Amino acid sequence: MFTTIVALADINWRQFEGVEIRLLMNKHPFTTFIEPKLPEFEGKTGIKVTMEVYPEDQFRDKRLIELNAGGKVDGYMIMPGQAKLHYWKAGWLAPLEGYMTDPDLTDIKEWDLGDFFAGPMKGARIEGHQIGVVINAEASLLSYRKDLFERFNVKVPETMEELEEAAKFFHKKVVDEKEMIGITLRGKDAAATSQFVDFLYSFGGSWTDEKGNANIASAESVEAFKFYGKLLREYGPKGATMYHWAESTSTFMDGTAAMIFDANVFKSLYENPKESKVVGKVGYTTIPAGPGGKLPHVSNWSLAVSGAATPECQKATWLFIQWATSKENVLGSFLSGVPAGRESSWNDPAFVSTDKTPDWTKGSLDSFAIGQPQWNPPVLNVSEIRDIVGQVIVDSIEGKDVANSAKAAAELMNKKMEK
Amino acid sequence: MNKTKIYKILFYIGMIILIIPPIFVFAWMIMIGLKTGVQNIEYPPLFIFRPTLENFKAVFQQHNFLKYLTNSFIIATFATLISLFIGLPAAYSIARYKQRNLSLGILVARMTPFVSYLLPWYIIFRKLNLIDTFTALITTHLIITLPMIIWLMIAFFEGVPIELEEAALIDGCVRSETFLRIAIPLSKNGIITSAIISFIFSWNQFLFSLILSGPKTRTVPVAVYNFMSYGKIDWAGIGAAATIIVFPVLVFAFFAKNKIVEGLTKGALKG
Repeated sequence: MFTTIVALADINWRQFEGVEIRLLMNKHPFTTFIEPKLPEFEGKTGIKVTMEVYPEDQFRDKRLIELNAGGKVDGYMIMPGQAKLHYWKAGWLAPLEGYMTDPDLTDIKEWDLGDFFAGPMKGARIEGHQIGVVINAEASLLSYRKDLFERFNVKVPETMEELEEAAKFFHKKVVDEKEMIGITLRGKDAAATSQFVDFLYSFGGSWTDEKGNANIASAESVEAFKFYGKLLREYGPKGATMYHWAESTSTFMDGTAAMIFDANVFKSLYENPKESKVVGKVGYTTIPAGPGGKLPHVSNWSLAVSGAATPECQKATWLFIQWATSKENVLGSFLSGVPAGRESSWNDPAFVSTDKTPDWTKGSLDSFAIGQPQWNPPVLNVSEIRDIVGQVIVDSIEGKDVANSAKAAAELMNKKMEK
Repeated sequence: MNKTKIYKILFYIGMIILIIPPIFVFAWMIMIGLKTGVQNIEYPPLFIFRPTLENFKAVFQQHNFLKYLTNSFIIATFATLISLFIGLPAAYSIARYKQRNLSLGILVARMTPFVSYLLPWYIIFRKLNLIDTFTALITTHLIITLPMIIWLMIAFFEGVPIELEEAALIDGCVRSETFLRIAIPLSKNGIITSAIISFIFSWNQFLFSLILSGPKTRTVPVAVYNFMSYGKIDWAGIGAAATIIVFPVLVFAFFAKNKIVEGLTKGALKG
């Protein structure tokens, strides 16, 4: 309560009273948390907020069409690693650093920019401009059945070799009358690239080289493709090339897979008794180290101000973003299951004292600390390039000649890349 | 005698083979809606389980589903009625005056990928301040329903014996009267069939509704997607919602089906 009074005293929250803003949001747990709190913001500022929420794919279509056609969109959610280049070049992203440092617009001390994780914040920057404020931080973790690892005395993998050994050990093993699968991962072409990237980096590979040319056919990158494909082909589920996150997490939650590597947000699914059979049986750790080191990616959703909105609406939207990403709200959404992009949330006693999965917390924080914000190929046409790379993953799972496939994909990628 | 029996048996076997896949998909959908989240990820899938109605309850409680159903109903009904009003005379004219080029033009409108209409429409409706209104949605749905009704009805009107209309013309009817008094009543089954199909297509239309609707006019197909969120797909909720959505169309088609059969057996030239 005290902090609110200070905040009110510091900047004039009612300076845009009567302004109407419209926000397009992805149906993300953060949105689910913040939407019911809108009246609080409207009461505090006198700004009228219309928030429209759509599931991710539909949200992306709608956002693109409306911005393209010049619809009234003042602010929206964005995954910078996916769309910032395209949206920035189109002029749909307003630079925020001016607002962040303006003492009339921002309660600089209370909002506390330094509290946000540097990696994700860097991901929301382009050409020296801050184009978004992170609302969550996402990294991928190796989640494993700690009950089974303990029962059979298997070492939690710290290297890629150990990962393969553990997968091999559990694959086709009959445990409690159920035949196990060694590991489940995404195998569906473009969808798999966002998880595969951790293997790519950890094997020493990369999407592009220093000159910006495709590097997916380099020896290191090919090794990563081969390893990922082998895991799924020899120790993975049947039909792995159809596996998106929903299939992969379902397999794990059904209790048939010993390990899964996917986003840390899925903890809330694994640990939900209404959805999962493995509640309380899951251990979490970072990606095992490969020949290139331990290099996970870190991604995030951010809130952005539309570059096409009127200056008044832009500033009003900034007030909204400032409010939505306040320490209090980020902590609130964190406690409801959104991995927070603020350090203070992770250290808050309200979280620490109730944390049932400290290994998840440690794994996530470790990953944020070393995470690479560039998780997609650094191009304008991300989806198209992800399709090209995804084909190599599928070829590898199917046991085809990976080196050739990667070479062909690299040539195609060089031809199609828009920068 | 024996031969007909064999044919009959073969006919039923064929029918069952054809019917199983769609019925299976349908039954699967209902089953998903009746299972819990944990049961839905079970592998191999469960066929015997204790059904729960929680998902159906949740659909109505958590989401404003009744409103979305009403929205869809209003849009599909008006789109179909307007299409009938404009499309029936158009189809009659094309059938009777052999306006083949015209019908081809209409076909082109139907064949153009719907996505290509979206951006211009969005811009136009925004300028007219009609985003998130029934007017915009009904108008856009006409691009689906109108060509369909015209094309289906051309064939039906061509099937109406021209002799009947010629006789009426000699008796002093004008063209509009032959249309209203002869062609329409004799094509009743065709009209109902095309109305059902156009209703269903409008009911299921997703893309236009997604882009041009808003909180006030959201339709059911768009609402169903609300069961998918970031990092979570509520299969049970989707199954329940899909079952609820299909239901009105099924009822509509079921009642109309009797009319169609009736229309077929009550042909004008029969007695």
